[in-house]
Amino acid sequence: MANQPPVSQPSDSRSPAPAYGRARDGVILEARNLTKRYRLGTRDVDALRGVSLQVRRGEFVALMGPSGSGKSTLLQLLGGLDRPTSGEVVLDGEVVSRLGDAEATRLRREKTGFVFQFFNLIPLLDVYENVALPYTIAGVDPRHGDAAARIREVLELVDLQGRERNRPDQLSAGEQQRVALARALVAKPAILLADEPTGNLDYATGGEILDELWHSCDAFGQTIVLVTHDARAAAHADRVLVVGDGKIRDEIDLGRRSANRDAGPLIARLAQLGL
Amino acid sequence: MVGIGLGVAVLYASLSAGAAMDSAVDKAAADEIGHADLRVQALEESGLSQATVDVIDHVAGVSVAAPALERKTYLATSLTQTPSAKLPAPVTVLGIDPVQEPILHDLPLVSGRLLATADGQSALITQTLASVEHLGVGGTITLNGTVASGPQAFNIVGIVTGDGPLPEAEGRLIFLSLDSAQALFGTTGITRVDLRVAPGVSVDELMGQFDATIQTQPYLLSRTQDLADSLRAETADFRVALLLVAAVVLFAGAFLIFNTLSMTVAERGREVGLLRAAGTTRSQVMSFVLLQAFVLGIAGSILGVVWGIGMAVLTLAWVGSSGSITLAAPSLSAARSPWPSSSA
Repeated sequence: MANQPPVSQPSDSRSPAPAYGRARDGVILEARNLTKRYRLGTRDVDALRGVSLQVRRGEFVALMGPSGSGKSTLLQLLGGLDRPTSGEVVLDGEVVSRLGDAEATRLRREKTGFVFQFFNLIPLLDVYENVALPYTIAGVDPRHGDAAARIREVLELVDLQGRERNRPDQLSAGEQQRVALARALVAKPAILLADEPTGNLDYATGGEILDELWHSCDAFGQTIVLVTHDARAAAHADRVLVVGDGKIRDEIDLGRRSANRDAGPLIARLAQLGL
Repeated sequence: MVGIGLGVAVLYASLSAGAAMDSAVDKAAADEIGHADLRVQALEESGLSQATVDVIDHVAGVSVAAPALERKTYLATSLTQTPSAKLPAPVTVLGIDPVQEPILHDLPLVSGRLLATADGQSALITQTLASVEHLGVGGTITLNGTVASGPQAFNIVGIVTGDGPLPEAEGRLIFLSLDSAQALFGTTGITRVDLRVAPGVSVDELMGQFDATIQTQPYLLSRTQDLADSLRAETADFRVALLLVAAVVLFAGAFLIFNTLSMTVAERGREVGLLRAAGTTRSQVMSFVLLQAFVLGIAGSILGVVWGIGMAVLTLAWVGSSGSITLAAPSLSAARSPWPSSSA
């Protein structure tokens, strides 16, 4: 596969996504003073209290914080899965928060890829069909042409070639998460959003997933936003945004480190913040 | 799918069993009254007297009058051959007018011929009786009469198809000429007279004439519709029960289908969430759910109809064998008496 992501091309409404977004440089994802309030019984809960951030193309950003800090809520708003109470989300030049459901759905289909903690594979579909899901939803035949080539490509990327006919219950947890990762990457999304992707995996397998995420970012320029409470996972990122009590409390710039992703410095910095 | 199939099966069985019973009632009514418009029945045990029959026959507006004597007895052989511990099955003897009876009542034959006026000791038997008692055309059947008349033998000249036109006889039915039957049972009485109304005369007019004309003894007067209604009344409770079961099953089935699909949607919430995250629209998700419901419904319904056919067959077989539902002779529809009431 080429080291540089292909230049985005105008696409018809049926193709899953343009290649890695429209612009090669600059801000691909922006949140402007986001708030999110939930009604629980008789009281209101502010999950987010005015969050602003920017993610540049090809950047690997980690959102880190304890449980209940609002990081998963923030990820859902960034990915257009939910609407903010106030504020805006701009994804690859489109204001997501102003779109209707149909347009937001189209945007998700074309611009985003999701990886969840619990894999969320379709149990009745085999590996190939699960990875091909974005194409299937977009109405593109995944068995032929560019789609088939791309599916084979991502399966090689996650080291699952030869397992196309296996069903999820025939795979280990790590393999299932790799299928989920391949599914998220297959359509070359402008941004990949991962919510605790290693939360359900053992130490070694989780490390493999994180390495593959980092590799897709480093080698192919995939923009990644990762939600985690694990410093080791966050240490793979270029930049860590510390989320607490519904706000961005701190920003830690780790830079792109190709060989050393030691979590030590990050842990020390987090300790200074009292986390 | 199995749940849907069971619901459909019970519903189908209920409705088809009810429809089958309606058909059976209609057929029984048609068999019972045939092409007659009216039936005059004896109210007294001795039957309609010959005088009454003569009056009926000469009432203006009567086109065809077919008298009949109906009695039960036993085959002469059965009393000697059946073990004493077991009661023999009786037979029903229907004494008929060989000329008038076939006009009003169809008697399809398996073999042989119908009774003729010139026949002496001749008989028609039903196919069921012939099979059970190993009888055939050209053979002889001996019936027990009164003490005075003793057993009498009759030559079998024909076999009527199936169980014959009297459901209560349960297939053990023998036709004799009216004279032979009266001689066998030592009576001159008539059980009933079936009538066809002459063209241009209404049934109500004829009934009015009977009221004015028949003064010899009390009698029962039934129209064809009265007979059919009476037969339906016999099975009304069972059919209402079937409909009630069908209604309950329909409600339960609808609830079951709704609940099953709701649980399916709830269980697959994570998959639905994934599909939505991957860019599936709400309408697409709805289409998936409805398509699944449609496929489950169709498959379950097909399965249910197949099971329902089997259940209906078993239900009707049980109804027929249990004897709890019998299409008996009609009950009183319009009792007439020529005598004024004692309170007048």
